[in-house]
Amino acid sequence: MNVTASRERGRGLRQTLTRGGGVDRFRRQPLAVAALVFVVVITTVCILAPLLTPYPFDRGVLADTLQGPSARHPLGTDDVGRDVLSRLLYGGRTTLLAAVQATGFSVILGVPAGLIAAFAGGWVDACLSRVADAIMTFPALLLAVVIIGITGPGLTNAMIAIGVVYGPRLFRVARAAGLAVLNETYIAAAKTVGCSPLRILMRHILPNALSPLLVQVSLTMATAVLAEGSLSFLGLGVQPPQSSWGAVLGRSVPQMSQHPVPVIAAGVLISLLVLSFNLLGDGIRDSIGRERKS
Amino acid sequence: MLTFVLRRLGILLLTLGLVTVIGFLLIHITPGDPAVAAAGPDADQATIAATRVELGLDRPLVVQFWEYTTGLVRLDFGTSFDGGRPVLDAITDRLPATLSLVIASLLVALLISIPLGVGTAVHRGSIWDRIGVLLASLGVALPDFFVGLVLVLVLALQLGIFDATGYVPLFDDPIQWAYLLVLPALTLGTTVAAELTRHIRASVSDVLELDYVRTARSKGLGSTRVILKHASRNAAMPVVTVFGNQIARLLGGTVIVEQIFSIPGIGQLLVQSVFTRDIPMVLGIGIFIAMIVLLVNVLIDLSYGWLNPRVRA
Repeated sequence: MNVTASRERGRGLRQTLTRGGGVDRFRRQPLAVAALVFVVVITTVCILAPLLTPYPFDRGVLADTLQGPSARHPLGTDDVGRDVLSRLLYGGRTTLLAAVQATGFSVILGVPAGLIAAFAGGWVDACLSRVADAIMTFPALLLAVVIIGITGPGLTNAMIAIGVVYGPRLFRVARAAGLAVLNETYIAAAKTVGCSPLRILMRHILPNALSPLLVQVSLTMATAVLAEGSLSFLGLGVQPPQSSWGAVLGRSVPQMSQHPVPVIAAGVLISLLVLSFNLLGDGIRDSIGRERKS
Repeated sequence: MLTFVLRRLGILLLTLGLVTVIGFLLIHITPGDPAVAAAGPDADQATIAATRVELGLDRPLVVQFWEYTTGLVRLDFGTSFDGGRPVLDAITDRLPATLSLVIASLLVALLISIPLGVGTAVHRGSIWDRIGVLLASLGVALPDFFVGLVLVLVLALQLGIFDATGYVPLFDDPIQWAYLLVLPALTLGTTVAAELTRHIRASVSDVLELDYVRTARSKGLGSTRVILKHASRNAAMPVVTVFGNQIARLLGGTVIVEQIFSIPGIGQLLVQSVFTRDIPMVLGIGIFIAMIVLLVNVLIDLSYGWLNPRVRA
């Protein structure tokens, strides 16, 4: 792709985001802004984990097992003497990266298929829609567990599973957005002047689908964080000594009655991150819709 | 009506077929040989080869798929790698526990979400509405496992009101059965209640703005009567549609909740089978749950067509 074309598309996407003062409207929603700030702060802190904590995430001091909160270990230590706060900071990287992987995978799977279904129509649309419906009727977590049961435990498998499960949601959004503009005059005009289907998809349909897709991406991030937590909690996601929020929580459950702090800390972090992505999605929906919400 | 039912059933069979194909292909496309999993961790090459022949895994994929699907039609879900037990037997053994949990959770979800959803819709914009909406958003974000562990931590371990874990079959001891189900049902019920509350609130407040409700009000009917007699029917329809998703969600949630409270249900069996790499069991449970979810969805579609004749066309 040449430079001019990619610059042109960049401008198209940017215009969609800022059209009608979307950023201003977003800024006027305190909850959505707070959610965005939380996501940014958590991401930054987790990326900077090696600079912020003196302890490694994978090696503990056996003399210091299962300590309560102290000045040296603000959230105490786990059953093999590892600092819980450090495990959470490093674990946040895994959790966030896993959520990005799963969401990315479902975008790659869902969006092109959705646009193609909208554009091609007929039996292609019918087939793709049926497959999406089949996957969507299924309980997401259960399907993920079944997929992991077939492919074997591990975070990458887990996230591919989550990506497959949430792909149909993005498929639906992309398809609906595609259908919404398909009969607009400017699409017919683009066809008349001889634009290739690919160009129409990229230049005319995708920018219109962008805001609903962004909302769905944010909501999918939330469910992916939740799913990573659940799967790692069951021991099907992250494998030791790797850390993630779900793994920290799952590992601390047996000692929960004497040492509840790690369970609560990890649980609160997961809940807040999920809540933030949900609120962020709602905020984007309310600010970059085509018409202002009443 | 008949064509409507037949078409729904046709779609059900088609979807079920798709689920089976996807599941079956996943086993054979993904890395990891089922024969190796079946033979166990210490098996040598000869044992693995023998197991492969014994289980029929050496035959062409199409033949295997044909046998599996014709088996499914006869309700034969295959046999477990672990001891050669029929998969369906293992599932039906575990079904009562899971069913108890799902029904109890559904009850909790409805008991919370109906008053909260209707209440917030009627008093829209009030401080109670804001609190209700905030609680619902929070409930949607809370992971099942966290809610469950906090309940165990506070109500069982600190206050000692409930036992932390365990399950007793209904017919052995009904009182103990109900008592042990309280915490798991609260866990699974709250997250579903949060989602339902949002839908009920939206649906009821839409209906309350309609003309015929205003007419009823201006005739001098009390608000309780208007809501119960006039609004509830129409408000129920959109809620019934999301009910299917919520049943699916409940079934998915059993995997986590059964693990936390050591309830010997299907979810626990699935997790155990994943760890022992018992592939026929995993696939069998997957297809069984898919069947249940699809059946529930068809029933919901039918009730929808029954509630609103326009849908049948």
